[in-house]
Amino acid sequence: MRRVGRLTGTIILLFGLASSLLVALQPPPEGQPGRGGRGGGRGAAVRQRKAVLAWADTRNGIAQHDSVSHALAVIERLGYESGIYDTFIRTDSSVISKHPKTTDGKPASGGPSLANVDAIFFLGHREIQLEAEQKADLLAFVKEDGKGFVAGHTATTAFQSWPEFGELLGARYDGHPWNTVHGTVINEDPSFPATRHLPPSFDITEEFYQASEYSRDRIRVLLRLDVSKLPPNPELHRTDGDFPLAWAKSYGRGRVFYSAFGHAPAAWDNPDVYRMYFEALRWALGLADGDATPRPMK
Amino acid sequence: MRIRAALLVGCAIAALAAAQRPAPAKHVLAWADVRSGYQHDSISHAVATIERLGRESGAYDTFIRTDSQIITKRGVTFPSGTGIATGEQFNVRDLNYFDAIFFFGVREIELSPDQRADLLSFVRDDGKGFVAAHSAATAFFSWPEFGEMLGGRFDEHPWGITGGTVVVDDPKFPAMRHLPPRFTVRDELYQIKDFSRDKIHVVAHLDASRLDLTRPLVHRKDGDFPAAWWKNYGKGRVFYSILGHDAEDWDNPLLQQIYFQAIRWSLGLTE
Repeated sequence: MRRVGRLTGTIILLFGLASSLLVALQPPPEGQPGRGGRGGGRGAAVRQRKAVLAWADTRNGIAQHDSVSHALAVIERLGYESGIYDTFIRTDSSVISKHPKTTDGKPASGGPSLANVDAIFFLGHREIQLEAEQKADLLAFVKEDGKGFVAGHTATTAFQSWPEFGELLGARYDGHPWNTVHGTVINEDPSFPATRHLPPSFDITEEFYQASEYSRDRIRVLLRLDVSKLPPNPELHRTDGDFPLAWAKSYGRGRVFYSAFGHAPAAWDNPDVYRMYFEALRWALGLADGDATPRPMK
Repeated sequence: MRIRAALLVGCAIAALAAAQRPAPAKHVLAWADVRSGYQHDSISHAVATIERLGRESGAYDTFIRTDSQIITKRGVTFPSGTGIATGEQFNVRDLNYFDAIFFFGVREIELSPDQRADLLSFVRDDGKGFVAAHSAATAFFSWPEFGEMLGGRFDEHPWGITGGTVVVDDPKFPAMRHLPPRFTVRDELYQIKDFSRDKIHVVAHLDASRLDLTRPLVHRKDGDFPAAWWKNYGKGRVFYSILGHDAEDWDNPLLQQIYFQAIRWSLGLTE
Protein backbone atom coordinates (compact mmCIF):
# COMPACT_ATOMS: atom_id res chain seq x y z
CA MET A 1 0.00 0.00 0.00
CA ARG A 2 2.82 2.28 0.93
CA ARG A 3 4.63 1.37 -2.30
CA VAL A 4 1.53 1.87 -4.39
CA GLY A 5 0.83 5.14 -2.65
CA ARG A 6 4.32 6.30 -3.32
CA LEU A 7 4.22 5.25 -6.94
CA THR A 8 0.95 7.08 -7.39
CA GLY A 9 2.43 10.04 -5.63
CA THR A 10 5.40 9.96 -7.94
CA ILE A 11 3.24 9.78 -11.02
CA ILE A 12 1.16 12.66 -9.71
CA LEU A 13 4.32 14.56 -8.89
CA LEU A 14 5.77 14.02 -12.34
CA PHE A 15 2.52 14.81 -14.07
CA GLY A 16 1.91 17.86 -11.96
CA LEU A 17 5.45 19.04 -12.44
CA ALA A 18 5.22 18.61 -16.20
CA SER A 19 1.96 20.52 -16.40
CA SER A 20 3.19 23.23 -14.06
CA LEU A 21 6.34 23.60 -16.10
CA LEU A 22 4.29 24.13 -19.23
CA VAL A 23 2.98 27.23 -17.58
CA ALA A 24 5.97 28.20 -15.53
CA LEU A 25 9.00 27.39 -17.58
CA GLN A 26 10.58 30.33 -19.25
CA PRO A 27 12.97 29.70 -22.10
CA PRO A 28 16.50 29.61 -20.72
CA PRO A 29 18.80 32.44 -21.70
CA GLU A 30 20.89 32.01 -24.81
CA GLY A 31 23.70 29.52 -24.45
CA GLN A 32 22.57 28.19 -21.11
CA PRO A 33 21.44 24.66 -20.47
CA GLY A 34 17.71 24.43 -19.94
CA ARG A 35 17.97 22.33 -16.84
CA GLY A 36 20.43 21.14 -14.35
CA GLY A 37 23.69 22.39 -12.97
CA ARG A 38 24.63 25.61 -11.44
CA GLY A 39 26.44 27.07 -14.39
CA GLY A 40 29.41 27.81 -12.18
CA GLY A 41 31.00 24.39 -12.25
CA ARG A 42 32.01 24.34 -15.86
CA GLY A 43 33.42 27.71 -16.60
CA ALA A 44 30.42 30.02 -16.60
CA ALA A 45 31.58 33.10 -14.73
CA VAL A 46 28.23 34.59 -13.82
CA ARG A 47 25.34 32.82 -12.15
CA GLN A 48 22.44 33.10 -14.55
CA ARG A 49 19.71 31.49 -12.54
CA LYS A 50 18.34 32.70 -9.24
CA ALA A 51 19.60 31.17 -6.04
CA VAL A 52 17.33 30.02 -3.23
CA LEU A 53 18.46 29.13 0.25
CA ALA A 54 16.21 26.37 1.61
CA TRP A 55 16.72 26.89 5.30
CA ALA A 56 15.35 24.55 7.96
CA ASP A 57 17.35 24.73 11.15
CA THR A 58 15.71 22.05 13.26
CA ARG A 59 18.43 21.70 15.87
CA ASN A 60 16.11 22.95 18.56
CA GLY A 61 14.70 19.48 18.09
CA ILE A 62 11.17 19.99 19.16
CA ALA A 63 8.54 19.09 16.59
CA GLN A 64 11.09 18.11 14.00
CA HIS A 65 8.59 17.31 11.32
CA ASP A 66 9.24 14.24 9.22
CA SER A 67 8.22 16.22 6.15
CA VAL A 68 11.07 18.71 6.35
CA SER A 69 13.66 16.77 4.34
CA HIS A 70 11.17 15.77 1.68
CA ALA A 71 9.95 19.35 1.41
CA LEU A 72 13.50 20.64 0.97
CA ALA A 73 14.20 18.01 -1.67
CA VAL A 74 11.00 18.86 -3.57
CA ILE A 75 11.76 22.59 -3.51
CA GLU A 76 15.25 21.81 -4.81
CA ARG A 77 13.86 19.63 -7.56
CA LEU A 78 11.28 22.15 -8.74
CA GLY A 79 13.95 24.80 -9.17
CA TYR A 80 16.44 22.43 -10.72
CA GLU A 81 14.11 20.85 -13.24
CA SER A 82 12.53 24.13 -14.28
CA GLY A 83 15.92 25.82 -14.51
CA ILE A 84 14.48 28.78 -12.61
CA TYR A 85 16.57 28.66 -9.49
CA ASP A 86 19.36 26.71 -7.82
CA THR A 87 18.85 25.63 -4.25
CA PHE A 88 21.21 25.48 -1.33
CA ILE A 89 19.77 23.20 1.34
CA ARG A 90 20.91 24.06 4.85
CA THR A 91 19.72 22.80 8.20
CA ASP A 92 22.21 24.96 10.05
CA SER A 93 22.10 28.74 10.34
CA SER A 94 25.72 29.71 9.82
CA VAL A 95 24.88 31.04 6.35
CA ILE A 96 22.22 33.40 7.71
CA SER A 97 24.67 36.22 7.37
CA LYS A 98 26.06 38.52 4.74
CA HIS A 99 29.51 37.35 5.82
CA PRO A 100 29.20 33.72 6.89
CA LYS A 101 31.93 32.20 8.98
CA THR A 102 33.13 28.66 9.38
CA THR A 103 32.72 26.92 12.73
CA ASP A 104 36.19 28.10 13.73
CA GLY A 105 35.48 31.71 12.84
CA LYS A 106 37.19 32.01 9.46
CA PRO A 107 35.33 33.39 6.44
CA ALA A 108 33.28 30.62 4.82
CA SER A 109 34.40 29.29 1.46
CA GLY A 110 31.85 28.63 -1.25
CA GLY A 111 28.21 28.05 -0.56
CA PRO A 112 25.36 30.43 0.10
CA SER A 113 25.17 33.63 2.07
CA LEU A 114 22.60 36.38 2.45
CA ALA A 115 24.78 38.35 0.05
CA ASN A 116 24.52 35.84 -2.80
CA VAL A 117 21.05 34.25 -2.67
CA ASP A 118 17.88 35.85 -4.03
CA ALA A 119 15.28 34.29 -1.75
CA ILE A 120 14.91 32.11 1.29
CA PHE A 121 12.56 29.17 1.55
CA PHE A 122 12.06 28.79 5.29
CA LEU A 123 10.87 25.68 7.10
CA GLY A 124 12.34 26.27 10.52
CA HIS A 125 10.47 26.19 13.77
CA ARG A 126 10.45 27.65 17.26
CA GLU A 127 13.45 29.42 18.69
CA ILE A 128 16.44 29.23 16.36
CA GLN A 129 19.70 30.51 17.69
CA LEU A 130 20.94 33.51 15.72
CA GLU A 131 23.39 36.21 16.72
CA ALA A 132 22.07 39.76 16.81
CA GLU A 133 24.04 40.55 13.66
CA GLN A 134 22.52 37.56 11.88
CA LYS A 135 19.03 38.73 12.81
CA ALA A 136 19.79 42.19 11.48
CA ASP A 137 21.18 40.71 8.25
CA LEU A 138 18.09 38.54 7.80
CA LEU A 139 15.69 41.46 8.17
CA ALA A 140 17.82 43.66 5.88
CA PHE A 141 17.94 40.84 3.31
CA VAL A 142 14.20 41.26 2.78
CA LYS A 143 13.52 44.83 3.86
CA GLU A 144 16.43 46.64 2.23
CA ASP A 145 17.81 44.28 -0.37
CA GLY A 146 14.32 43.46 -1.64
CA LYS A 147 14.92 39.72 -1.59
CA GLY A 148 12.19 37.09 -1.18
CA PHE A 149 11.05 35.12 1.87
CA VAL A 150 8.75 32.16 1.37
CA ALA A 151 7.81 30.21 4.47
CA GLY A 152 5.86 27.03 5.13
CA HIS A 153 3.83 25.44 7.88
CA THR A 154 5.95 25.55 11.07
CA ALA A 155 7.44 28.93 10.13
CA THR A 156 4.82 30.77 12.20
CA THR A 157 6.09 28.97 15.30
CA ALA A 158 9.57 30.38 14.76
CA PHE A 159 11.28 33.13 16.73
CA GLN A 160 8.41 33.84 19.11
CA SER A 161 10.78 35.93 21.17
CA TRP A 162 11.72 38.16 18.22
CA PRO A 163 8.99 40.71 17.45
CA GLU A 164 10.47 41.89 14.13
CA PHE A 165 10.32 38.37 12.75
CA GLY A 166 6.59 38.30 13.42
CA GLU A 167 6.31 41.58 11.58
CA LEU A 168 8.24 40.19 8.62
CA LEU A 169 6.13 37.05 8.44
CA GLY A 170 2.84 38.73 9.22
CA ALA A 171 1.41 36.38 11.85
CA ARG A 172 2.12 33.97 14.67
CA TYR A 173 1.19 30.37 15.38
CA ASP A 174 -1.82 29.68 17.57
CA GLY A 175 -2.17 25.92 17.62
CA HIS A 176 -3.95 23.56 15.23
CA PRO A 177 -7.44 23.17 16.70
CA TRP A 178 -8.45 20.06 14.73
CA ASN A 179 -4.97 18.53 14.35
CA THR A 180 -4.88 16.85 10.94
CA VAL A 181 -8.34 17.00 9.40
CA HIS A 182 -10.12 17.12 6.08
CA GLY A 183 -11.22 20.69 5.43
CA THR A 184 -12.49 23.08 2.80
CA VAL A 185 -10.29 25.94 1.65
CA ILE A 186 -11.60 29.17 0.13
CA ASN A 187 -9.41 30.73 -2.53
CA GLU A 188 -9.73 34.45 -1.89
CA ASP A 189 -7.44 35.47 -4.72
CA PRO A 190 -7.38 33.27 -7.83
CA SER A 191 -5.45 35.98 -9.66
CA PHE A 192 -2.34 35.77 -7.44
CA PRO A 193 0.48 33.69 -9.01
CA ALA A 194 0.67 31.19 -6.14
CA THR A 195 -3.08 30.55 -6.03
CA ARG A 196 -3.96 30.94 -9.72
CA HIS A 197 -3.93 27.18 -10.28
CA LEU A 198 -6.38 26.55 -7.45
CA PRO A 199 -10.19 26.48 -7.78
CA PRO A 200 -12.41 28.96 -5.87
CA SER A 201 -12.83 26.32 -3.18
CA PHE A 202 -11.23 22.92 -2.64
CA ASP A 203 -10.86 20.20 -0.04
CA ILE A 204 -7.57 19.13 1.47
CA THR A 205 -6.34 17.08 4.41
CA GLU A 206 -3.89 19.07 6.46
CA GLU A 207 -2.86 20.11 9.92
CA PHE A 208 -4.38 23.57 9.68
CA TYR A 209 -2.33 26.00 11.71
CA GLN A 210 -4.31 28.78 13.28
CA ALA A 211 -2.73 32.18 12.75
CA SER A 212 -2.83 34.91 15.34
CA GLU A 213 -1.43 38.41 15.73
CA TYR A 214 -2.09 39.28 12.11
CA SER A 215 -3.99 42.11 10.56
CA ARG A 216 -5.68 42.17 7.20
CA ASP A 217 -4.41 45.73 7.01
CA ARG A 218 -0.92 44.33 6.62
CA ILE A 219 -1.25 40.99 4.83
CA ARG A 220 -3.15 39.96 1.72
CA VAL A 221 -4.86 36.70 2.54
CA LEU A 222 -4.92 34.35 -0.43
CA LEU A 223 -6.40 31.20 1.12
CA ARG A 224 -8.64 30.78 4.13
CA LEU A 225 -10.07 27.77 5.90
CA ASP A 226 -13.85 27.52 5.72
CA VAL A 227 -14.37 27.06 9.45
CA SER A 228 -18.13 26.75 8.98
CA LYS A 229 -17.55 23.29 7.47
CA LEU A 230 -15.69 22.01 10.53
CA PRO A 231 -17.12 21.05 13.93
CA PRO A 232 -16.96 23.71 16.65
CA ASN A 233 -13.68 23.66 18.52
CA PRO A 234 -12.82 25.40 21.79
CA GLU A 235 -9.33 26.11 20.47
CA LEU A 236 -10.73 28.14 17.61
CA HIS A 237 -10.07 31.61 18.88
CA ARG A 238 -11.64 33.95 16.36
CA THR A 239 -15.36 34.49 16.14
CA ASP A 240 -15.46 36.30 12.79
CA GLY A 241 -14.74 33.14 10.78
CA ASP A 242 -11.35 34.35 9.60
CA PHE A 243 -8.69 31.65 9.38
CA PRO A 244 -5.89 32.55 6.91
CA LEU A 245 -3.98 29.60 5.40
CA ALA A 246 -1.85 31.52 2.90
CA TRP A 247 -0.94 35.13 2.46
CA ALA A 248 1.39 37.51 0.68
CA LYS A 249 2.80 40.77 1.93
CA SER A 250 5.63 43.13 1.39
CA TYR A 251 8.26 43.83 3.98
CA GLY A 252 10.17 46.93 3.05
CA ARG A 253 11.32 46.30 -0.50
CA GLY A 254 10.98 42.51 -0.25
CA ARG A 255 8.23 40.03 -0.93
CA VAL A 256 6.98 37.60 1.71
CA PHE A 257 4.71 34.58 1.32
CA TYR A 258 3.49 32.09 3.91
CA SER A 259 1.25 29.05 3.81
CA ALA A 260 0.19 26.68 6.54
CA PHE A 261 0.24 23.72 4.12
CA GLY A 262 2.90 21.02 4.36
CA HIS A 263 2.63 19.05 7.58
CA ALA A 264 2.87 15.51 6.19
CA PRO A 265 5.55 14.34 3.74
CA ALA A 266 2.78 13.43 1.27
CA ALA A 267 1.59 17.04 1.25
CA TRP A 268 4.71 17.83 -0.75
CA ASP A 269 3.66 15.33 -3.42
CA ASN A 270 0.36 17.16 -3.88
CA PRO A 271 0.70 19.30 -7.04
CA ASP A 272 -1.70 21.90 -5.59
CA VAL A 273 0.65 22.39 -2.66
CA TYR A 274 4.10 22.22 -4.24
CA ARG A 275 3.03 24.31 -7.19
CA MET A 276 1.75 26.95 -4.77
CA TYR A 277 5.17 27.15 -3.14
CA PHE A 278 6.98 27.06 -6.48
CA GLU A 279 4.89 29.92 -7.84
CA ALA A 280 5.28 31.80 -4.56
CA LEU A 281 9.04 31.50 -4.97
CA ARG A 282 8.85 32.78 -8.53
CA TRP A 283 6.81 35.73 -7.27
CA ALA A 284 9.17 36.38 -4.35
CA LEU A 285 12.11 36.26 -6.75
CA GLY A 286 10.46 38.96 -8.86
CA LEU A 287 9.88 36.58 -11.78
CA ALA A 288 6.10 36.93 -11.59
CA ASP A 289 3.88 39.84 -10.63
CA GLY A 290 1.10 39.65 -8.09
CA ASP A 291 -0.87 42.16 -6.07
CA ALA A 292 -0.02 41.84 -2.37
CA THR A 293 -2.02 44.90 -1.33
CA PRO A 294 -3.81 44.11 1.93
CA ARG A 295 -7.60 43.98 1.86
CA PRO A 296 -10.50 42.95 4.11
CA MET A 297 -11.95 39.44 4.27
CA LYS A 298 -14.23 38.60 1.38
CA MET B 1 3.72 -30.01 -17.81
CA ARG B 2 0.57 -28.69 -16.30
CA ILE B 3 2.05 -29.08 -12.82
CA ARG B 4 5.17 -27.22 -13.87
CA ALA B 5 3.05 -24.42 -15.30
CA ALA B 6 0.98 -24.26 -12.13
CA LEU B 7 4.18 -24.18 -10.10
CA LEU B 8 5.52 -21.39 -12.24
CA VAL B 9 2.32 -19.42 -11.85
CA GLY B 10 2.38 -20.10 -8.13
CA CYS B 11 5.97 -18.93 -7.91
CA ALA B 12 5.15 -15.85 -9.92
CA ILE B 13 2.24 -15.02 -7.63
CA ALA B 14 4.38 -15.60 -4.56
CA ALA B 15 7.12 -13.42 -6.00
CA LEU B 16 4.60 -10.75 -6.87
CA ALA B 17 3.12 -10.89 -3.39
CA ALA B 18 6.60 -10.66 -1.90
CA ALA B 19 7.39 -7.73 -4.14
CA GLN B 20 4.22 -5.95 -3.11
CA ARG B 21 4.53 -6.61 0.56
CA PRO B 22 5.65 -3.31 1.98
CA ALA B 23 8.96 -3.68 3.76
CA PRO B 24 9.32 -1.14 6.52
CA ALA B 25 11.36 1.69 5.07
CA LYS B 26 14.89 2.05 6.38
CA HIS B 27 16.12 5.36 7.69
CA VAL B 28 19.00 7.10 6.00
CA LEU B 29 20.71 10.19 7.31
CA ALA B 30 22.02 12.31 4.43
CA TRP B 31 24.71 14.16 6.29
CA ALA B 32 26.53 17.04 4.62
CA ASP B 33 28.00 19.34 7.22
CA VAL B 34 29.82 21.92 5.13
CA ARG B 35 30.10 24.65 7.72
CA SER B 36 33.87 24.36 7.87
CA GLY B 37 34.86 23.80 4.30
CA TYR B 38 34.15 24.62 0.72
CA GLN B 39 30.54 23.81 -0.13
CA HIS B 40 30.46 21.96 -3.42
CA ASP B 41 27.65 23.26 -5.60
CA SER B 42 26.42 19.73 -6.14
CA ILE B 43 25.76 18.86 -2.52
CA SER B 44 22.18 20.07 -2.23
CA HIS B 45 21.23 18.45 -5.53
CA ALA B 46 22.97 15.25 -4.47
CA VAL B 47 21.17 14.95 -1.13
CA ALA B 48 17.85 15.85 -2.76
CA THR B 49 18.46 13.15 -5.38
CA ILE B 50 19.34 10.59 -2.72
CA GLU B 51 16.13 11.53 -0.91
CA ARG B 52 14.07 11.14 -4.08
CA LEU B 53 15.55 7.74 -4.97
CA GLY B 54 14.71 6.43 -1.51
CA ARG B 55 11.21 7.82 -1.49
CA GLU B 56 10.26 6.76 -5.00
CA SER B 57 11.54 3.23 -4.47
CA GLY B 58 10.17 2.97 -0.95
CA ALA B 59 13.53 1.54 0.13
CA TYR B 60 14.33 4.23 2.68
CA ASP B 61 13.28 7.56 4.14
CA THR B 62 15.88 10.29 4.26
CA PHE B 63 16.72 12.92 6.81
CA ILE B 64 18.80 15.70 5.29
CA ARG B 65 21.08 17.50 7.71
CA THR B 66 23.87 19.99 7.06
CA ASP B 67 24.65 20.18 10.75
CA SER B 68 26.08 17.42 12.93
CA GLN B 69 23.83 17.63 15.94
CA ILE B 70 22.33 14.17 15.57
CA ILE B 71 25.70 12.44 15.12
CA THR B 72 25.30 10.96 18.58
CA LYS B 73 23.80 7.89 20.18
CA ARG B 74 23.25 9.61 23.50
CA GLY B 75 20.15 11.59 22.67
CA VAL B 76 20.05 15.24 21.77
CA THR B 77 19.94 17.89 24.42
CA PHE B 78 18.35 21.23 23.78
CA PRO B 79 19.05 24.69 24.93
CA SER B 80 16.32 25.78 27.30
CA GLY B 81 13.65 28.11 26.09
CA THR B 82 13.49 26.75 22.57
CA GLY B 83 9.89 25.66 22.59
CA ILE B 84 6.46 27.04 23.07
CA ALA B 85 5.15 24.21 25.19
CA THR B 86 7.72 23.21 27.77
CA GLY B 87 8.79 19.61 27.95
CA GLU B 88 7.52 18.85 24.47
CA GLN B 89 10.15 16.78 22.67
CA PHE B 90 8.79 14.50 20.03
CA ASN B 91 10.33 13.31 16.79
CA VAL B 92 13.77 13.71 18.20
CA ARG B 93 16.28 11.63 16.26
CA ASP B 94 19.78 10.48 16.91
CA LEU B 95 22.01 7.83 15.30
CA ASN B 96 20.04 5.04 16.95
CA TYR B 97 17.14 5.88 14.65
CA PHE B 98 19.16 5.50 11.45
CA ASP B 99 20.22 2.44 9.49
CA ALA B 100 22.79 4.11 7.28
CA ILE B 101 24.50 7.42 6.62
CA PHE B 102 24.99 8.96 3.20
CA PHE B 103 27.93 11.27 3.78
CA PHE B 104 28.83 14.23 1.57
CA GLY B 105 30.80 16.33 4.01
CA VAL B 106 34.06 18.12 3.46
CA ARG B 107 37.27 18.78 5.41
CA GLU B 108 37.31 19.17 9.16
CA ILE B 109 33.87 18.88 10.71
CA GLU B 110 33.42 19.85 14.31
CA LEU B 111 32.51 16.75 16.35
CA SER B 112 33.04 16.15 20.04
CA PRO B 113 35.03 13.08 21.13
CA ASP B 114 31.76 11.42 22.13
CA GLN B 115 30.27 12.11 18.72
CA ARG B 116 33.33 10.63 17.00
CA ALA B 117 33.14 7.52 19.14
CA ASP B 118 29.43 7.16 18.40
CA LEU B 119 29.92 7.57 14.65
CA LEU B 120 32.56 4.82 14.55
CA SER B 121 30.46 2.60 16.78
CA PHE B 122 27.40 3.17 14.58
CA VAL B 123 29.21 1.34 11.77
CA ARG B 124 31.64 -0.94 13.62
CA ASP B 125 29.47 -2.20 16.48
CA ASP B 126 25.91 -1.59 15.30
CA GLY B 127 26.62 -2.91 11.80
CA LYS B 128 25.02 0.09 10.11
CA GLY B 129 25.93 1.43 6.67
CA PHE B 130 28.18 4.29 5.60
CA VAL B 131 28.07 5.44 1.97
CA ALA B 132 30.28 8.37 1.10
CA ALA B 133 30.67 10.52 -1.98
CA HIS B 134 33.40 12.57 -3.58
CA SER B 135 34.54 15.21 -1.08
CA ALA B 136 33.96 12.75 1.77
CA ALA B 137 37.53 11.63 1.19
CA THR B 138 38.71 15.13 2.18
CA ALA B 139 36.97 14.92 5.55
CA PHE B 140 38.53 14.55 8.98
CA PHE B 141 42.19 14.48 7.94
CA SER B 142 43.11 15.02 11.57
CA TRP B 143 41.20 11.89 12.64
CA PRO B 144 43.06 8.66 11.73
CA GLU B 145 40.19 6.34 12.71
CA PHE B 146 37.92 8.01 10.17
CA GLY B 147 40.45 7.30 7.43
CA GLU B 148 40.53 3.69 8.52
CA MET B 149 36.76 3.43 8.39
CA LEU B 150 36.55 5.07 4.95
CA GLY B 151 39.53 3.21 3.54
CA GLY B 152 41.31 6.00 1.67
CA ARG B 153 42.09 9.70 1.63
CA PHE B 154 41.88 12.49 -0.90
CA ASP B 155 45.18 13.28 -2.59
CA GLU B 156 44.35 16.19 -4.89
CA HIS B 157 42.59 16.15 -8.23
CA PRO B 158 45.60 16.51 -10.49
CA TRP B 159 43.53 16.91 -13.66
CA GLY B 160 40.84 19.27 -12.36
CA ILE B 161 37.54 18.47 -14.04
CA THR B 162 38.36 16.17 -16.89
CA GLY B 163 37.13 13.34 -19.03
CA GLY B 164 38.12 9.88 -17.91
CA THR B 165 37.33 6.22 -18.29
CA VAL B 166 36.08 4.15 -15.40
CA VAL B 167 36.81 0.43 -15.55
CA VAL B 168 34.53 -1.86 -13.55
CA ASP B 169 36.51 -4.47 -11.65
CA ASP B 170 33.66 -6.25 -9.91
CA PRO B 171 30.51 -6.34 -12.04
CA LYS B 172 28.88 -8.60 -9.44
CA PHE B 173 28.94 -5.99 -6.71
CA PRO B 174 25.40 -4.55 -6.34
CA ALA B 175 26.48 -0.96 -7.03
CA MET B 176 28.33 -2.04 -10.20
CA ARG B 177 25.87 -4.51 -11.71
CA HIS B 178 24.13 -1.95 -13.89
CA LEU B 179 27.34 -0.62 -15.39
CA PRO B 180 29.05 -1.52 -18.63
CA PRO B 181 32.61 -2.89 -18.26
CA ARG B 182 33.99 0.54 -19.13
CA PHE B 183 32.29 3.91 -19.23
CA THR B 184 33.40 7.49 -19.68
CA VAL B 185 32.76 10.24 -17.19
CA ARG B 186 33.47 13.92 -16.95
CA ASP B 187 34.14 14.68 -13.32
CA GLU B 188 36.64 16.09 -10.92
CA LEU B 189 38.62 12.87 -10.62
CA TYR B 190 40.24 12.40 -7.25
CA GLN B 191 43.56 10.71 -6.67
CA ILE B 192 43.32 8.51 -3.57
CA LYS B 193 46.09 7.90 -1.07
CA ASP B 194 46.48 6.01 2.21
CA PHE B 195 44.60 2.99 0.95
CA SER B 196 45.60 -0.63 0.83
CA ARG B 197 44.09 -3.17 -1.53
CA ASP B 198 44.39 -5.59 1.38
CA LYS B 199 41.74 -3.61 3.22
CA ILE B 200 39.43 -2.26 0.53
CA HIS B 201 37.71 -4.02 -2.32
CA VAL B 202 38.18 -1.80 -5.33
CA VAL B 203 35.15 -2.34 -7.55
CA ALA B 204 36.05 0.29 -10.15
CA HIS B 205 39.18 2.21 -11.07
CA LEU B 206 40.26 4.94 -13.44
CA ASP B 207 41.96 3.85 -16.64
CA ALA B 208 45.40 5.36 -16.04
CA SER B 209 46.28 5.12 -19.72
CA ARG B 210 43.66 7.82 -20.37
CA LEU B 211 45.10 10.20 -17.78
CA ASP B 212 48.05 12.53 -18.03
CA LEU B 213 50.44 11.06 -15.49
CA THR B 214 52.98 13.82 -16.02
CA ARG B 215 50.82 16.33 -14.14
CA PRO B 216 52.73 17.72 -11.15
CA LEU B 217 50.21 16.54 -8.56
CA VAL B 218 50.15 12.95 -9.79
CA HIS B 219 51.72 11.00 -6.96
CA ARG B 220 50.58 7.52 -7.80
CA LYS B 221 53.25 6.38 -10.23
CA ASP B 222 51.94 2.81 -10.51
CA GLY B 223 48.68 4.10 -12.01
CA ASP B 224 46.45 2.69 -9.29
CA PHE B 225 43.53 5.10 -9.09
CA PRO B 226 40.51 3.57 -7.32
CA ALA B 227 37.18 5.10 -8.39
CA ALA B 228 34.94 3.13 -6.03
CA TRP B 229 35.37 0.56 -3.30
CA TRP B 230 33.63 -1.26 -0.51
CA LYS B 231 34.93 -2.53 2.76
CA ASN B 232 33.76 -3.87 6.04
CA TYR B 233 34.37 -1.84 9.13
CA GLY B 234 33.64 -4.06 12.09
CA LYS B 235 30.12 -5.30 11.54
CA GLY B 236 29.21 -2.45 9.18
CA ARG B 237 29.40 -1.89 5.44
CA VAL B 238 31.23 1.05 3.91
CA PHE B 239 31.20 2.28 0.31
CA TYR B 240 32.93 5.23 -1.30
CA SER B 241 33.19 6.64 -4.80
CA ILE B 242 35.16 9.60 -6.10
CA LEU B 243 32.33 10.53 -8.50
CA GLY B 244 29.85 13.38 -8.12
CA HIS B 245 31.56 16.78 -8.21
CA ASP B 246 29.03 18.68 -10.33
CA ALA B 247 25.30 18.93 -9.77
CA GLU B 248 24.70 17.56 -13.29
CA ASP B 249 26.61 14.41 -12.42
CA TRP B 250 23.76 13.46 -10.12
CA ASP B 251 21.39 13.42 -13.10
CA ASN B 252 23.40 10.63 -14.68
CA PRO B 253 21.39 7.43 -14.08
CA LEU B 254 24.62 5.42 -13.93
CA LEU B 255 25.90 7.53 -11.04
CA GLN B 256 22.50 7.59 -9.32
CA GLN B 257 22.36 3.81 -9.39
CA ILE B 258 25.91 3.50 -8.06
CA TYR B 259 24.98 5.39 -4.91
CA PHE B 260 21.41 4.11 -4.62
CA GLN B 261 22.50 0.48 -4.91
CA ALA B 262 25.41 1.13 -2.55
CA ILE B 263 22.97 2.46 0.03
CA ARG B 264 20.72 -0.58 -0.41
CA TRP B 265 23.75 -2.83 0.00
CA SER B 266 24.96 -0.95 3.06
CA LEU B 267 21.47 -1.34 4.54
CA GLY B 268 21.74 -5.08 4.07
CA LEU B 269 18.98 -5.12 1.46
CA THR B 270 21.32 -6.77 -1.07
CA GLU B 271 24.38 -8.95 -0.77
